[in-house]
Amino acid sequence: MAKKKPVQRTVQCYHCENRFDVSAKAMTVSCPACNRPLMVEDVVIKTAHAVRKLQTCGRIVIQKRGRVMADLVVGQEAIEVMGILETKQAKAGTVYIRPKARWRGDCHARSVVIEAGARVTEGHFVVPDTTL
Amino acid sequence: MAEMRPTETTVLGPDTRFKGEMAFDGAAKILGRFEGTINANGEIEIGPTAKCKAVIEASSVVVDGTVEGNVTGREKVKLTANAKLHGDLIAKTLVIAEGAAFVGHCRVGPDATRANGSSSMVESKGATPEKVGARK
Repeated sequence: MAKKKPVQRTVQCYHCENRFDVSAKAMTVSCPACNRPLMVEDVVIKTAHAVRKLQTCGRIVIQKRGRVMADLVVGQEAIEVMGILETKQAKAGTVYIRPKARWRGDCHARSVVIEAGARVTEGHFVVPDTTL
Repeated sequence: MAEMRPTETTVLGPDTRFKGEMAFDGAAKILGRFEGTINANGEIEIGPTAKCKAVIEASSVVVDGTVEGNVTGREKVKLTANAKLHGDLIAKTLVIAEGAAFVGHCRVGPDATRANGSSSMVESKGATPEKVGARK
């Protein structure tokens, strides 16, 4: 009987931008090009988080009561903000700023969706960012 | 403030080229090329065929074409999927559809348009269509 092929997905290293396949269930991997550790799982923020860097190859979801204060936030697939994001720079595939969300910081993304009611205090937006 | 007449919309057709300053009491739709300043009490719609190099201030701004210049929406600014905006944006409410292109500074919220005691922060900083998009 043929073995069932494991489900894979393509991710992009946030250090060297190399693209490669990983198992859909993988949480962390090492980049085959630069050998640096990568987080590939989705990150869900439900409370306040103050960090220097928050990076993942997947999605970052900041829920209603979530608050992220960071120098750099990278969600290669997407960043979805329903709570508060305060950063110097955010990079993402797609940025979703939901109705009651608050955003402060620069934004580099392939596309951005801002819904009515969102607050953007400060920020330089570059959309689409061709380097991503 | 002049009374809004939403049924009366001034349209600048796709074959129009305009350079200068325009003010509307009601709504307006730009479909051609525009260079200068637009002030409106009603809604300004930048159509899909429009190319504007302008500082725009209106109660409501809908961008469906290309704008190079600062945009202030006292109530609402909407960028459709076809929109291309290169300039700073100030709005009470902002809606950006997926696919829209936007390069510039952004301030959104009830306080954003009220800052400096003026409805237009970009105007108070002496912005011109040539100066937009530069980092402060």
